[in-house]
Amino acid sequence: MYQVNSPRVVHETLDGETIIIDTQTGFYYTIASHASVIWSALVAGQRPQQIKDQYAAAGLIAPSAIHQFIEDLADAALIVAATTDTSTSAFSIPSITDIAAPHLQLKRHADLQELIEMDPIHEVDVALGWPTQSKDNS
Amino acid sequence: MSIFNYFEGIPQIGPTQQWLLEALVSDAPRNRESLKKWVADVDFDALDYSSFRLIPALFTKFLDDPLCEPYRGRMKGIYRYFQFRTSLLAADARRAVEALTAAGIETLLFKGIAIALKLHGNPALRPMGDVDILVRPKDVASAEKVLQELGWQYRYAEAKKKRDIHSHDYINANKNGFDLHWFALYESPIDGIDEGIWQRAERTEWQGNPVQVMSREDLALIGMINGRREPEARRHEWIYDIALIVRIRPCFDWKLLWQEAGRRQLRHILFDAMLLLNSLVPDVLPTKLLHALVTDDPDLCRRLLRPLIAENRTHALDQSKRTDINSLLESPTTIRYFFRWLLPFRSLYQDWSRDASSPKHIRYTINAEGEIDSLYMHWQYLPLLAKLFDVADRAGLGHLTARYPAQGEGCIVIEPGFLALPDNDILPHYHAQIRITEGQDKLEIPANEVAEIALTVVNDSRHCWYVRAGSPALYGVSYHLYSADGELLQWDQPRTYFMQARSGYLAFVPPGQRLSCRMKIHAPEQPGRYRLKLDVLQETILWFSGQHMRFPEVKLIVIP
Repeated sequence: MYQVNSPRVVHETLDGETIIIDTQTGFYYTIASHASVIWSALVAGQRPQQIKDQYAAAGLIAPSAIHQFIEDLADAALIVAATTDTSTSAFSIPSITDIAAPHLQLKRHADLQELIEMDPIHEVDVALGWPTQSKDNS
Repeated sequence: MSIFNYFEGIPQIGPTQQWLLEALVSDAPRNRESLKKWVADVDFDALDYSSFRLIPALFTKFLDDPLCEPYRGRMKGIYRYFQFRTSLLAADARRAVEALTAAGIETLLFKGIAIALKLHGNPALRPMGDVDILVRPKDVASAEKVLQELGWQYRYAEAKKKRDIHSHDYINANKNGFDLHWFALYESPIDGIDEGIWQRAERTEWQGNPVQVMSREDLALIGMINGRREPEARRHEWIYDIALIVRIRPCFDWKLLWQEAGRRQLRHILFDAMLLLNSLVPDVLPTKLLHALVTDDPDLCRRLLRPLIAENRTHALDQSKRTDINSLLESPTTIRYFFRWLLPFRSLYQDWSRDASSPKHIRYTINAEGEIDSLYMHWQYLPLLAKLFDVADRAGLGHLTARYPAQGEGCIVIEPGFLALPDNDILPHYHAQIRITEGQDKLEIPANEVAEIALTVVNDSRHCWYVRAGSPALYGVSYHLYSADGELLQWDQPRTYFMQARSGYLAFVPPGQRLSCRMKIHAPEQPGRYRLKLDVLQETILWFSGQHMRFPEVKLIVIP
């Protein structure tokens, strides 16, 4: 079982996307879709095996991919082993319409200076917004 | 009697900014109507900084609303941006506060960080450029030592530090700011002034650790004073803060806030902020409550009325209530009061309305066809009507003006088409004099600091300098920056305008009138010797120096 590496790591899920900020390194992460679901389940105290079992039963994502994703989160020090058992009720996969690519991608933006200096009005992709640079500025 | 019967001049923000605020603080359906107007009107690429800081709150409030679609991507991005920036800032600041507490230094959080912790719980919703902490004055040196050990550095050149009067601004390697205050407000650096703030402090948690934050009333006071410190900046994001602070339970204590502002002699600034708040969010600060607070302070009433009277913006001052106004203006403790029966025709009102150091105003009303149909004015300016307006019938004007006395004030009904506002701002001839009134022709100012010099500016032309409502062609005084050996370094510098372009008024400076003003001088960043060539301008039209006039110079020494 895992928990968020708090207070070092700050996170929020909004509009189907999870933002994760490592305040020690200044790295900025985003995950979406099923990756965001799995993150929310992990930080709510769900056991990884429970999550893997549900996704395997639904035929959506292979357990090995979920295992790798959790490893990536732990390697980035975004989650750590839980100090107490905070397991909650049984995990179930919410219906997500955006399942074209049930791909568990942890997207990392590591250039702190570039992130801070990027103008979020004029230098960004108008449809995607900060931190995606517009083609003119990239 | 309420000063509101007479007072005019509510500070304003632009309509786009107002719709943004209404979208945030109003209830349905008005909030969505305002959002619709904002989306239709806003130029997102030219978003002002105050509005920029409100975007995260707007985005979360209208997350799924299709009205936001044109800007949805960038709004979401701005939300992420501030979440990122503020999270990093808050994390560094939290470590600093923990270290200060561990060193036995008492801290009190205020401004953005306190509002974020108390009201939002999410730093993205309360963007801030730095974290503000109040410590006891005796603890400043130890607090600085703690900050320096954590890698924070004084933000500016060390020479500036000794001139800081209420806070030292620190910055760290991540470019995060930490303002270490020993006085809560720049305007009141007085020993013991913040004792009440410390006593009213409340406890909350910051990432599981107990911290002290200012009470809601103190947060509101500081937010409003900071928000209106530079009215020309037209900041408005503080109004959202105040609306949130006031609306949470239990009931907000406006009287406490008013008392605290009185102790600090800051009620005139607070009143300015309260007027704006009342006009935009009347449920947060009801008019009745504002009346009660203001009319309880005769000194403030006098201070608010004086510029209105001196500039002849007194059309709303009901003649039948002139006795009341005079009694409001005349302090019962002054000698004037005891001699008032001997001087029945003299009053502060009369003295102030003839103040020759202020610009003057004529109020006009316009009918449905856009023609002037009445004037409210002081009779002494009747002879100037032909210089201020386009007159259809000059002989008729003579007959009209002959009907009124030479002194006093009142309303004239104008036959539509008889008078019209001038159709441009350009005068046939310009001439002015500038006098430095307090012998300040040599100044020594620290780099990047601002100082003031007192000037008298004389309109010694035959024409009225007038400013039409909404016109950018404001008259003002400024200066040009030269090196000590006469090389022009920078032509354009900040202006000090004599009058504003007010709706429904023609503002003017009559020929021969001497205006008193205080002009701000902004010291350059680079220490050294400079020459400032003073000048008068009509914005967007001309510099008077280009009309063969010479004005005084000021020698400026900029010290590190």
